[in-house]
Amino acid sequence: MSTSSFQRPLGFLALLAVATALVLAALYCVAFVARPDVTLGIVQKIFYFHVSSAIAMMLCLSSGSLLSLVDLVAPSDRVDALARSAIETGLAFAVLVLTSGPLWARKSWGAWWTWEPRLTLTLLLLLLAAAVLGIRALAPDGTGRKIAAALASLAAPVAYLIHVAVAKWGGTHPMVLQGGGIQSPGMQITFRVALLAIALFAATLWTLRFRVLRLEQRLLNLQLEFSAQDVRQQREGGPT
Amino acid sequence: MLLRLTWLLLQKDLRIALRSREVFGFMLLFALLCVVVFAFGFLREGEAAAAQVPGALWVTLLFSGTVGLLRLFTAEDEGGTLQLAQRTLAGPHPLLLSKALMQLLFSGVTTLLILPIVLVFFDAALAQPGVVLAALALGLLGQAMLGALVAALLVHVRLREVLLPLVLYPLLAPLLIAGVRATVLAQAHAPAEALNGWLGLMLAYDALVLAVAPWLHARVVEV
Amino acid sequence: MTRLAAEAVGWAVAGRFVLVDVDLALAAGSLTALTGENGAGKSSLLALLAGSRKPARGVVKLDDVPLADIDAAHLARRLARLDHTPGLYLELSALENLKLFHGLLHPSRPEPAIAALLERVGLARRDHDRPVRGFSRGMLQRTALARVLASGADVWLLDEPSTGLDRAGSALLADVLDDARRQGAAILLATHDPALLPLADRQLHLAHGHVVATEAA
Repeated sequence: MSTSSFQRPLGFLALLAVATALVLAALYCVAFVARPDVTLGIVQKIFYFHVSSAIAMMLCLSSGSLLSLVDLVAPSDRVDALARSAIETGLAFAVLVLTSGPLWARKSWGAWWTWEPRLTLTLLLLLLAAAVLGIRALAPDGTGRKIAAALASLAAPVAYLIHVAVAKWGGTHPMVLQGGGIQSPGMQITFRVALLAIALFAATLWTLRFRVLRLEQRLLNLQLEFSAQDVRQQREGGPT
Repeated sequence: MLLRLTWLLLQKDLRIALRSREVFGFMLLFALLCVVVFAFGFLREGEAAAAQVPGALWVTLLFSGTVGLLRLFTAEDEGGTLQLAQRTLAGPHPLLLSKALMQLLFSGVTTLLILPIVLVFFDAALAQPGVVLAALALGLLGQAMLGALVAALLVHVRLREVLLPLVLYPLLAPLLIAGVRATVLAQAHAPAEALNGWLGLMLAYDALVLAVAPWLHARVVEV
Repeated sequence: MTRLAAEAVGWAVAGRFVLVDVDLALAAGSLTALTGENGAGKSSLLALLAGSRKPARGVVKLDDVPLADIDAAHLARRLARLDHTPGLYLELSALENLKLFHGLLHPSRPEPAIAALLERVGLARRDHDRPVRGFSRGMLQRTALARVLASGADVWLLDEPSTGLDRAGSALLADVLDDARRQGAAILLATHDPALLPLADRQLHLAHGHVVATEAA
């Protein structure tokens, strides 16, 4: 592990600064650039953050699953920290999606919740991610990492099948992106800015967690090294 | 070699199950209880009870299939035999397969016993028995394999009794959705084309789990 | 000739090292006794030597090959372990247990005279066919010893093997160990039993996280 990246967190600070600026810009666009939707009114503005959060969540969780698989095949502390921080970030965004989703759904579909493919998948992924992180914490010394990695790698293909199943079951999610539901240029620009802002926000959180986990790993290694020296010293000092 | 060792371990589990009888008996009682609770929760005067059959049946099987799952592996801990059973010439695969087969046997017998009871309680008849049985077979197969894998992974984890369903049920969602839908359609005399999609999905799920579970298991236990 | 060797092995629990720089070699045809206070790490060391746990530092080798490179089935045939659990299915009889483990370890080899083995460890014929769940601690220990004998392994790692054994049982254990040593087995015995210690070729003491005292018995 390179110590320099921790001592000189310039890259991270730059990321943080750009992400912050973009989030502010997105808020400005949402408030002043995009006009309220003709039929849905002001509530439609949740869309910009809801959809972006959903995309960020899917990216984080699928990366987490893939990285878990990599760690299972070729174990490495760095990959493990990347995978774990990805799943944690994905979980945070899943919470965002599931709070913003019903607010929008209430207005546009008239119900807080529908068993619609993407919403259902998000809910199940949230439960799975929470369970995987929980297992990792509760497994005996050192075994949690592999168990969590195995379950996380299984989750991606199963998530695909869940999506197929719920979609077949029938859903009413607005096909905004495919169908071109947002027509006005102001709305389109706002959506792009919001998407970029949320993506960078997710990257910032992910990087932050990754750095913390790497520091934790380093601390643990140092602690181990000290305890080994401790045992050696006792040995020399004590009667043999 | 794989089949021979799996058979050896399966024979052992069958013999133990016949001698102690406990797990299977409770699994069956629990399944029965689920059906009764379903009737309490969902049956109303003046509404057709038969409409509740698919849901009651599948959820009962999902729940009762979880009861004895952890026991399959914690039983190996009792006499300290887990590692002895894992270190075989065919790797840890025979152990996982024998446990999955045990689970399949238990849940299969439970299904055959509970299905007529559900039909009687909910005053219904199977419109297309072949389709429903095929869906049940596919569902139980995937559930047994995935259940055995998750139980094997969680055997030494704290709070495993709570964590097992928390992980297992979301992972089983495609099977449950497809199983319930296929049963609903079958009961409504739907044409084969409508049913094939759901059965195909279950088949794909089973293929995925059967292919991946042994590899993941071996990767994690590594003894 | 060295069968099993630990080289600079370290083991940590919850972020703290319990064993540090442990070096140990078990020669063929030798019996080594390992003593140490409760919590000194005897059982952990045995688990590391058996490959049930991976050392945090260092390496354990069987015939000069690191355990990580040895396939689990081969390890199970070469290395037998007896710890605080008997390693038996409690609902099965002694005979069924031993037959099962023979089938798992050596599927293509003819079955040895298992009944004779059980009699060797002092288990009367009438006890061969009843579930071992009804056995006393001592009888379980004897059956577990028969499992080790039947495995055909030439490296034995035994953790307090005389637990629950009566005087006759202890003598019998000593006899079995002596026999196995003469046939070339490398045996490590974690024990404080004064009846077994004199039997050892050498006695090692585990303290301060490593093997400190080495004395010829």
